[in-house]
Amino acid sequence: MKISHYNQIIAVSTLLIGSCIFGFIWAKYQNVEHQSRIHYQSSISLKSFQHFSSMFQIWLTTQDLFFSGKQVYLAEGINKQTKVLLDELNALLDKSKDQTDKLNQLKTLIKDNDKTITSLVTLNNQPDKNWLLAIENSDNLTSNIIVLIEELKRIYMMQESEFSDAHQMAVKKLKAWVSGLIGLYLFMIIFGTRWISKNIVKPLENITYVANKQLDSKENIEFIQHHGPQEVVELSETIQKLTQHIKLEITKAELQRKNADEANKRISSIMSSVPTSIILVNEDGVIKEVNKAVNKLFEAEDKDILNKKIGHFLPILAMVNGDFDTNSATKTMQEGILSTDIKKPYIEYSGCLVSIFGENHYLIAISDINDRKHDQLALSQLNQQLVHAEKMASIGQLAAGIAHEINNPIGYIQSNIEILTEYYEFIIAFKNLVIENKPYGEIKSYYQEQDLDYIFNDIEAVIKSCQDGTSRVSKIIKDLGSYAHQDNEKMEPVNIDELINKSLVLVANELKYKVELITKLEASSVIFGYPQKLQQVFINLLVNASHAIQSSGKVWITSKIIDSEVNISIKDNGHGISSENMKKLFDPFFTTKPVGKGTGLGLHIVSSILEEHNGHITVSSTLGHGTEFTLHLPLTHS
Amino acid sequence: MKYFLLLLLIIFASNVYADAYCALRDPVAQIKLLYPTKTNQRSIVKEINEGVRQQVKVALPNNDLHFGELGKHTLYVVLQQQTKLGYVHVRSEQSKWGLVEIIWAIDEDYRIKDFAFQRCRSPKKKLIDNQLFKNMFIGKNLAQLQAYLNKDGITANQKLLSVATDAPELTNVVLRCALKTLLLTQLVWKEELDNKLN
Repeated sequence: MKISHYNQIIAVSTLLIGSCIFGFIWAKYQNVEHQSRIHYQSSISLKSFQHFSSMFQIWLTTQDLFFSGKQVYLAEGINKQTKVLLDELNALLDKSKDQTDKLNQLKTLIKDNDKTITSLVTLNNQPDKNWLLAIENSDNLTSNIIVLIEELKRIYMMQESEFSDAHQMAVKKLKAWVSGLIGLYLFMIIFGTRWISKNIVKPLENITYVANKQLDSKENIEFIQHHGPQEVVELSETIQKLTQHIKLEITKAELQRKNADEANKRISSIMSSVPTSIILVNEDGVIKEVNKAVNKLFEAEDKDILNKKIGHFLPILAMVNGDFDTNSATKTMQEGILSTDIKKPYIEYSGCLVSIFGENHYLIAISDINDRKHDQLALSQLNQQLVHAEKMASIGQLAAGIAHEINNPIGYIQSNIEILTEYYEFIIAFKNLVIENKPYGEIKSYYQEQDLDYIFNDIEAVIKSCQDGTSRVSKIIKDLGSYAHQDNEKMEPVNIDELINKSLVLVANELKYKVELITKLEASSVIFGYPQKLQQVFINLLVNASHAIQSSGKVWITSKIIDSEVNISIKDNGHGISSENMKKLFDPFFTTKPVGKGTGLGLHIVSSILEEHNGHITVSSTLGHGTEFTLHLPLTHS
Repeated sequence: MKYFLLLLLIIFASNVYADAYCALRDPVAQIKLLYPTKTNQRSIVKEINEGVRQQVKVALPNNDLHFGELGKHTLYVVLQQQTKLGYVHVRSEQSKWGLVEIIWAIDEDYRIKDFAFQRCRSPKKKLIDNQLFKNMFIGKNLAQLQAYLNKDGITANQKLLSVATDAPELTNVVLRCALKTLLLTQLVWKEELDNKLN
């Protein structure tokens, strides 16, 4: 049953019992009131009769006085007293209906006595026998009256006593009932309280007592109460379930804590032995936790690291104003340099945002890349050397062609110089004739004979031809020198179309005897890059295209802007590349050329150079129909 | 209240007309009953005055004489020829039911010889009008009768009441009447009785 039902039952029963008790006590009280009224009436009757009795005694005394003194006026007084007594009796008759007969007898006797007294008034004041007879008669009457009065007095007293006893009994009963009912009510309250204590409070106390005990996951705690209101039983069952759930959760938590401890130990072990430096900083960039690798990396003890700003050790994570740069801290695999006072400054770091107890922290993993950096530097230097060597090799390959290209202008320059020398001799001779003031005729004759007009006209053309030849040689030498020269470390603006043209100059001899070159340079754009390296790319691909053509063919070279990149296509209609070779095309030391003719590094270096420019190269080839290399270079390079 | 005033008026007025008989009726007829051998009697009228009253008050505390008892009263000397048989003293004692008149027969040693009710309205009279009760008085002098008094000086003790269980009030009246009678007889009449009638 529910407490609410108990509550209703208690309320209703309390109301009913209270009503019954009140009603019963009220009925008893009414009885007491009734008895009290009866007793009161009886007391009033008794007192009235006692008053009557007292009046009667006075009346008798008056008579005695009258009888002894024979004064007539006393007879009148007796007569008046008689009327008063009769009035008293009439009043008693109204109050005491059950004593009517006796009271009426009294009235009759008193009236008779009054007649006797009245009869004496007319007697002489001499000793008279009638006087004594009247006294005797009066004494007889009054004696009878006294008998009646004594009897009535006894009756009234008895009635008063009975009614008093009845009243007292009713009062006693009322008291007894009130006491009994109060006792019963108290008993019921005590019983009810004990019942509530036993059935409601005790189970709750049991639950509280058990709940206050130290929760031991091994001990089986019994919350369930089998007796008591439904709510208490349900509550105990719920707490039992909750406790079991808590115990289960505690077991899980202990297991998790154990696992966490073990994990923590493992992590601590890992953290202390891991070569990667791990730093935990708060949102302000203050270092809160480090592992041992950090001490080694920063060359400092914990006390010199903890609670200091990360920017102190890793400037890249500090903004200009010194604040912690959270954006930089969450980057992945970023290279950085430690502060200048650290001997091995090259690091690579990754960071992430972690929440620890509701507060944002940054976990930064720092790898010491000094060795790698040195290796990279060495590799880079080696690669540069390789690129340069390959470039030198390509220059070597181009040298004969270039020499041929240079030789032609040198040849006609030499021829022109011989002509000019001859012309110089004629002119000097003519000058001497003039200086010697030879006759005009002789001078003229010599002038015409040597056709000096032609010589003077031809000199300009010969000199012009020499100038062109030297310019051409100069350009070839300049382009070659430029090509042979190593790039600066920093990128510089490069006009792609111009660079292609320069490359074409250097490979002209390779192409012109068997290749029809078709150029369509429309990029007209400047990118940031390394010009020598890009030129090496173009030369390499153009030479490859030339080599792909056996006797004659075409090579198309185009440049254009597509989206935000420059696309340079070098296409030939040579023998093409097999699909098997396509897979290994950019592998180092892969070549299809005979031994000694190729290094096998050309396309690998091309690919590396493009990657260095954040670009890439694509190739499509059809065996027997030709190959097209497309270079993708971004217009902007960060 | 008016009745009480009327009663007082009557009581004072009655004193003026006090009779020497001390009773409503002449006790002569009763004397023969008490002294059957008597031939004649002498009456001695004496006045009970304030001085006597004060003496009574001392001798019988709380038994004050009321005004109605003052005045001239008669004592009868009962004679058989010239021989004195005793005395008869009639006294009226106030009771609940009016005056109770008792005729007391007293011997020459002033002891109660016998008594009889001349007038009594109380129905309890029949409870004590017997020899057993009378024997409690007969032969007793004043001092012996005083032994029946409680400490209050006006009510009878249990010794006397034991023979009149249902009439204590009338017993008290009889006892007080006997004490006053013997005391007054000795106070007022003793000298004359001792000197003249011996």
